[in-house]
Amino acid sequence: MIEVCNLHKSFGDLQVLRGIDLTIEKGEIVVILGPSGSGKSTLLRCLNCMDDPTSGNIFFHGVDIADMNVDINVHRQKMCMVFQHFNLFNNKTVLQNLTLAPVYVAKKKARKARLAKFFKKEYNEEDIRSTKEINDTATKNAIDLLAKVGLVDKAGEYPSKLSGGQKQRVAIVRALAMNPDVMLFDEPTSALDPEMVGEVLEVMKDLAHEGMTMVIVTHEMGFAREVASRVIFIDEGIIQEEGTPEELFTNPQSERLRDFLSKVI
Amino acid sequence: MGNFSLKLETFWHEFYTNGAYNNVLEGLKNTLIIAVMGLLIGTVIGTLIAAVRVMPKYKALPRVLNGICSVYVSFFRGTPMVVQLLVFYYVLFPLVGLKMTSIGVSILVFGLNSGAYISEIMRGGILSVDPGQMEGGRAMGLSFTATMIKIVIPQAIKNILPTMGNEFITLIKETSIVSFVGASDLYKAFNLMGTNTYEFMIPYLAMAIIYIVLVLVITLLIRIMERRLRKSDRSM
Repeated sequence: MIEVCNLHKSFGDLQVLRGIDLTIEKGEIVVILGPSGSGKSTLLRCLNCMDDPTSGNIFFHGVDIADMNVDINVHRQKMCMVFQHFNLFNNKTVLQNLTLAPVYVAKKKARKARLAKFFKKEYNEEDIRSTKEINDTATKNAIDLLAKVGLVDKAGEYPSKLSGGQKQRVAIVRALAMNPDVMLFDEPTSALDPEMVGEVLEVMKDLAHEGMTMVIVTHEMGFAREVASRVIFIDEGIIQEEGTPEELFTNPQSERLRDFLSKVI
Repeated sequence: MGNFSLKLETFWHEFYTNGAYNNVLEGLKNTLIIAVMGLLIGTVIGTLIAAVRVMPKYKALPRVLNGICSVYVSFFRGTPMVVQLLVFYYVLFPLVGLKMTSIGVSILVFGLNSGAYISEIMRGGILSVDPGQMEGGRAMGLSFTATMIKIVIPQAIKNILPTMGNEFITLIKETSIVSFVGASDLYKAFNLMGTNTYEFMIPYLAMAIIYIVLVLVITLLIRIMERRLRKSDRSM
């Protein structure tokens, strides 16, 4: 589903990624580990071009999204991201946070289809929907998702009234509302109070069981061990080691990984 | 002070009996129209420029737009408004053969001028919004423009309201220059009273008082608006 070829990223003189090759298949749950400053977050942010790669290719569904001429927005709609600091829209209610992007995308599609119909070009009849229909579908979907994470009663609240754990759960379902093919998690529990980590990890575990493809940067070793189908250890901008959680946690090959594990576990 | 009461009497005679209050009301109306319309046009232009200036500049188009915007801002911030008014009314418009009333030109110039200032205010406002808001929008597949319009600018406007109030007050007071191109504003109305009665003291004093009252009322309105916004902040 995602294929990364020889990815490099530098910020000025600082080389953060020095040649990453990585393939992620559908349904895989890939956990990226690494010491601070190793480039793991940068790798994740390069996957959906939040940081544009300096060189290299990222193929998503066969399209090289590292190419600046590709409409990245279309691909990001299928590759949603959950941030460390939630990044919920502060001027929107929880419900609006969930419906904003899906409604925007559907309206855009409808507009394009209507235009194509007018000019007698090829179009998809299903894309032509009324604004009311789009809004209703998005709202219904949003309520269902909120119910899934037990936050329906917060639908009308603004994000500033939620706790950290609630915010992150909303952020996760906000991404889910786009019906993405893959979800990227950038240290989703690092900004949370300890007692709220569990509720967020619970939601992520449910997602994993439903077969969502996930790429997760985290420091939660227990979680990584439990849900990951593959663990990748990054240091100094390259993949040092990768394998199943058992392989990496019980029998680390490289000195660096042994050193890292001894510090975090 | 006998002199003063005589002056007052002359003023009142001119103001009320000779009907100069009509001019004053007309002037007040024009002053407000020019300031309000100027602020509206300025806000639109300023927001557009600010959005261009904070755009990521990998591609050619944003760079070209950015160049145009910075020339625009330096021109309108670098010349006095009176000069701009005169240039537009006596040079630019006749040159291209456009006809426009002096009020129309004034509104245009005030809009363009305040657009340059508001662009910088707005840019500051946009930069004051957490960059995570833009990232959140972009990560969901919204375009830069859509995220700006739906997420960032509404939050920016909330942050810059006090400064925008300031800008509005400046505009109100600056309208006193539009008589340079023959528009009838407050200044012109009171000046006319002076020339008719050979007595300038009271008219100018009255004019000053009207400006002060205008500004005080606006300050009050802004304060009420701010308080309302803060209330919604707390309930958020």
